[in-house]
Amino acid sequence: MTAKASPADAVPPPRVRLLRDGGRDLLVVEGTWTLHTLAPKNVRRPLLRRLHTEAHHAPWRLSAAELDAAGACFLLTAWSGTLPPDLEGDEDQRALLEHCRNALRGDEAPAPRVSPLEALGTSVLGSGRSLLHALEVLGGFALRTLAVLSGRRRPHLGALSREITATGVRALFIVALVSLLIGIVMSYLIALEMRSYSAYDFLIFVLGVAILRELGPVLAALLVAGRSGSAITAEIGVMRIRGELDALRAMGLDEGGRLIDPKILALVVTLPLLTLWSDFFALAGGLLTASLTLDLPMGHLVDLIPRTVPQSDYWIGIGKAAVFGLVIGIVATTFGLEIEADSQSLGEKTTRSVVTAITTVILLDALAALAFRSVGLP
Amino acid sequence: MSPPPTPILEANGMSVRYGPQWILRDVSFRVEAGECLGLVGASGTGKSALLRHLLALERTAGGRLSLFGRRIDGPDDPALHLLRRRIGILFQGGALFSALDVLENVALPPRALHLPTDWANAMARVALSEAGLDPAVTGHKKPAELSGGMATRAALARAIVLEPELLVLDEPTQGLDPPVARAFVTALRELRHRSSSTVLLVTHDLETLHALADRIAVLGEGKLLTIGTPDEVTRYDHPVVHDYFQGWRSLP
Ligand SMILES: Nc1ncnc2c1ncn2[C@@H]1O[C@H](COP(=O)(O)OP(=O)(O)O)[C@@H](O)[C@H]1O
Ligand SMILES: [Mg+2]
Repeated sequence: MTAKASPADAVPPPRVRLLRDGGRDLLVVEGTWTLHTLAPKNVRRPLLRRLHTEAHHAPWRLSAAELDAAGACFLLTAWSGTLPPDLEGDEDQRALLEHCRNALRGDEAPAPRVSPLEALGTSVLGSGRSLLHALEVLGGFALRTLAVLSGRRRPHLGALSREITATGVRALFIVALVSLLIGIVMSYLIALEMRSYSAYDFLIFVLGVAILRELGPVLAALLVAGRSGSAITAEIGVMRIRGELDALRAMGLDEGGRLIDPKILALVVTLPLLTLWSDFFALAGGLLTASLTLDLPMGHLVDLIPRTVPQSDYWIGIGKAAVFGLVIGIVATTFGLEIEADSQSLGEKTTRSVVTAITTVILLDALAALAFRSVGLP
Repeated sequence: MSPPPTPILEANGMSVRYGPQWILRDVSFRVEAGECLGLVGASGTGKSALLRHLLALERTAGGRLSLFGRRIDGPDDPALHLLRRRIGILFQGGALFSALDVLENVALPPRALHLPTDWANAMARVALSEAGLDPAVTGHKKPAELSGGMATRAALARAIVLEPELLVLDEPTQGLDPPVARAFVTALRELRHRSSSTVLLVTHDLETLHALADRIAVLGEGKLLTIGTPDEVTRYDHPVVHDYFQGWRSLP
């Protein structure tokens, strides 16, 4: 308990007493009406009932031993924000009640509830707006990159190098680990089946095409979307909340070339490289497992790859990775720039950034499968 | 004979350290019930850091701390939970929750005591108007939509909504233009007049200090240089203190 000088029971509890005073009924507010005495629910409940039902039936008298602002607010909420017409008693306490009532007056109604249909509409419109923003970001990025390529604009190589370290180098370990494990699991499942056919060429073909064309780029993209996509959105968002973006603009530094382009470009550069890295570990895991399960020399299996897997599948994988990098970069920066100045928006947009990036990557991957269905894959 | 009143806050040989860097060493002082103690010092002397330690938000590098006469053993002392309800804090810059609107921000301390919403909201509205804001106009705004002065007032409202026994203000007039700052100081004075609470005020605005502080503590050179009434402090013979209070005499 709190270290109050007087024990709690020495304080007269808050109560409402009915008094017959010269032939009329009078309700008297007495005892201690403070935050402290009113905080327990079991104290409040009987008081509230009394205050509610008899607010306008009889004259009231204020003669509390102590009344603080919390107590006054309690009385006022019980009286629905108005004072009883006949209120007599202690001047100071009446003044406090008046003072509090003035603060409560003129409150506007709380924001109206949003209907589900309206919420759906808002969300669709919001997505449409995000798409427009994304196109804007993409356009700006393309124009500035063209300007850099034609020598009309200086690239920010320092920032690019920092971003490549953050999105690429720091992701090496996790990409390697996940790829290795997936390669092992996949190869084990296929090898179990293939053992009965001795169709080793086919095993290597399936493994090679699946990894080089699909798994490598998609795995790397998903990991990078989760790691760097969220980080980029949150970083830009925090800069926006703290007014750093305004400061950049006000100083005449372009946030596009300095902040956005290096991030997108870094993803476009690193994702193909990470895909190569992922291909390597997934194949290594796959071949190792196959050679152990099937009792075949590792060298023989490695030799089989270039003979069974068409090179175009490899290039399709690397090309897709560059596109995925661009998509993740555009989505992450777009949502980062959309963040509003409150902490809730930061969390929401970061989540949406990652979900949108992953969904788009998988969607594009499916489209690519359709588009390239006659390329590679002998 | 009544025993001598216990100080609201007592620091004994408190030190503040971040990593290898000692910010403050061996700071001892008391905040007596009912007084307003001003804590001053140049920017970066560790005023905010000291406050965080005085409120046991961080572990001290040494020394003893008592709040309301009770010894505190560190940031996870179980007694703090109840003691903190008796303290209202205005953090430097306001520290309003950006995801909540102003009314929700101010109603948060009573809501944390499990008071019903309508009562808590009524208390929040009264606190807002005490702090000089119109609850009907500002109540439903988000902190990001407020000007600096309004945000400070909203933060003050949140600090006073439970009528704390100790009110801790970290640079309440920072970034306010003089008329707004003066209005703010007036509001604070009226508040103190009404509720006679104890105030620990951090500021480097001499005018605010002059208007509110009963006693002044000066931080500098990594320690507590001096503490006393405004007269005593301004006469204290030390170059830093001297520099600091230049022009004090000319204040009204
Ligand atoms: N969390 C922290 N970690 C490391 N150093 C800190 C931290 N907080 C404050 N400091 C250092 O302590 C010193 C005092 O800071 P502060 O208390 O904010 O000064 P002021 O007196 O202006 O309020 C500064 O030198 C600051 O760099
Ligand atoms: Mg400070």
